[in-house]
Amino acid sequence: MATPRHRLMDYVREEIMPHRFCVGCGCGTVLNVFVNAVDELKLKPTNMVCVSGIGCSAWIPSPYFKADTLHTTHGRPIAFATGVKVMRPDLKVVVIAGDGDIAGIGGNHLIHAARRNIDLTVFLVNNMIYGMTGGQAAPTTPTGVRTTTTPHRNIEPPFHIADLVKAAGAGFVARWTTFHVFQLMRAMQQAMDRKGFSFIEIVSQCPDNYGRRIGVKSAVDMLKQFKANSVRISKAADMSEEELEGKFVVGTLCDRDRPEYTDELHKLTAEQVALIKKETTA
Amino acid sequence: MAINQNKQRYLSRLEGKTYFLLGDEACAYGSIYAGCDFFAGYPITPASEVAELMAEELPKAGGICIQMEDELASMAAIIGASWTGARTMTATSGPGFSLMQENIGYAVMTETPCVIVDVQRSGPSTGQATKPAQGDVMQARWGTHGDHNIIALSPNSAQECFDLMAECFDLADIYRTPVILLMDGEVGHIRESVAMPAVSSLKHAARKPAQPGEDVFGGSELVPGITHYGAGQNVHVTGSTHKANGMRDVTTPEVHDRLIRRIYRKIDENREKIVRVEPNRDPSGGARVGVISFGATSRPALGAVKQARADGKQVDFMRLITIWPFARKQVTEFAENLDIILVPEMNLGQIAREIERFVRCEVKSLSKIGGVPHTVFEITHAIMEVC
Amino acid sequence: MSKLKNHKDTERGHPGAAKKSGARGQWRVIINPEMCKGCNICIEFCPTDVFERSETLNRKGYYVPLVAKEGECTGCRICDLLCPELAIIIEPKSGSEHAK
Repeated sequence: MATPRHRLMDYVREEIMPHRFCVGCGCGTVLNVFVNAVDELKLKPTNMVCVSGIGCSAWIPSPYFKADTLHTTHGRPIAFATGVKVMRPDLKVVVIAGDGDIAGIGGNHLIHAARRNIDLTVFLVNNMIYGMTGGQAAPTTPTGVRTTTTPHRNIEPPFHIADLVKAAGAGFVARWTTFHVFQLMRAMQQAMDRKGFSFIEIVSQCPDNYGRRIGVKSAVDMLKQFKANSVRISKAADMSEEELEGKFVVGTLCDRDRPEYTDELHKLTAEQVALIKKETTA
Repeated sequence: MAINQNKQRYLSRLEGKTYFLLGDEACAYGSIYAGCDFFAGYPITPASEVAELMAEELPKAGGICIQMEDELASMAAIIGASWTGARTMTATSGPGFSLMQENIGYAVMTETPCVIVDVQRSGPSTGQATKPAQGDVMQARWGTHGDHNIIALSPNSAQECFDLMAECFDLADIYRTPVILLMDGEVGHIRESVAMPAVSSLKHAARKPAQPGEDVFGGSELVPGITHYGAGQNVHVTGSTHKANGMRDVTTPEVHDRLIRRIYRKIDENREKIVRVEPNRDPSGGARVGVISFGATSRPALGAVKQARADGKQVDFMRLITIWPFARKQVTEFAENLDIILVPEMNLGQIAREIERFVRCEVKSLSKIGGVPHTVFEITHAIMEVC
Repeated sequence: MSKLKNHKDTERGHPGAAKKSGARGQWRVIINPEMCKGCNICIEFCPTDVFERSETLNRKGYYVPLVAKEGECTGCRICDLLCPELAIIIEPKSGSEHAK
């Protein structure tokens, strides 16, 4: 008897599956949860544009998600996405890329987009390393870790990206891990179903280029660590900074209504057009 | 391509009138006339006035104008917006142009139509921020990494800053390429009369649309048809080497060879249609001395040629309007009977070097840097020395 | 052929888990063997130990888990969602209350 087809294969470019992600890669799980979220929300991929940068997570939409996609230069997907969104506000524009891409080289675009509260959905897949290039230290790599560019030890402290994005003014910010698949799916739906800058930091496992280097041998073990080290945001509020060292604070950091960039922009343009219409038809 | 109603109304207020404008401002008005739908930029001297006027005027014509956080983002935004079918542009100067190079290469590789205005200033680096120069000529050609081709035009008056925008947008759409308007700070900040044409005289070229299901990144034509976001075609745009259907393939050598050579040939094999020059041969037909110039320098250069002719000398003159692709055929023909060509330019001889490749006669670079344009006297003196 | 040791230290209980025994036995659990990369996440995280390691190799040389106890499946779908390969299909059995 032939194996039945997974019901969500319609969302994926089936001709190039199975995908190229490593065994147990969190990117695969994010792709899985993403298509589930799109399906549950009844979003039409023909009304979506997926933008991604350079890195393994950027391959989630490009080439695997079957929709209009834009695979940009390293660090810049949010800037490219801004151009798409302001000209086609009717399309759902989703950015999926990694921590090195969006919060490393692309940090500037991230904070400005959050400040503008532009209607983009951004799923940042944080595997705490530059995975695609072989395991170099990233701005999210924990202190002390040995990577290929910190062979002695990493002397830098890591970013808490979700907190940074909240401080910059984003409307919706959440953090989950690839272990929390149900919560992540619900958060993805929330993020895609609202207006404004909606951001989810997804802590994800890179077994081959991160786990292997820190002595966590498999995807299973990395997921177990995510589970063990996750602290709900409500609980984290009562914990000290030392207690939170090495923990992932998961949950929704903020969900607020603020003026949205594309709306304001089109409002301004409409005002000016109306003035000219008045002037020329008077 | 039809002009939408908002633009028509906006332009009807300007048509037939003459305004006293900065080159930068003329460029902005020219872009709106040329059908620009979207502008994204970042402040930089001497190009800020382009952004400022676009911010004021483009919304009135129903277009979208935004300021991005840096030049890389500006270039990124205009590429993203171009894939929605819009005519898009940005404006900058040397340091910003340097920042944009990676994304310009992305536009070349993905064959995204867009226009970049570079109002050249004295460099390298911060240089003389407020002074003009023509030092970005080679950067416009080779600034981004890898083998590629590019189109660049150079205006020499405020009117031309206006007029050339239509040509830039048309070339970008016809050849699916970024097009650079290589202004210099002198022309950008000059104030001159600019005549606004009648709206009825406007004719825009349009992008060739791809048929549903047709490949958007290759095929039998040099310039494939294009499709836009939201058309349900699942178009896969990537800066990685890709097959004709847009899907990444970095392992097959033939795929890369085919893609890069076709993108290169798109412009290389259409030189006849793209390259424009303005020759001004000596009336006697017997000149042995020639002057080639472009941009702001072409004005004192032509003045000097006229001065020399008035003093009884025979001098040929040619102005390059298209800088890239280089006017090699026209330059070779121009040089046929000449012993020497003088090339005044506000850089260390970037165009002179290019002319040398296509002529057998002597090429003398009249290079002047320091932020002050050539005077008629300086160039006349140089002509007299060799006549 | 010896069976590989099954790890049992996964904690039970998470959102979506139907703990009522009534929900068990109403689900079909299928792994698409050619999509599987043998990461074993499904084995480790299934709260009712439906999967076990096996020595069945697919065409790419990965060990595909065995659906050992389909009857224990509660339809929680954590394996379905965690699977990086979209290789696991959880379907209600026809006639079950969950079938549409």
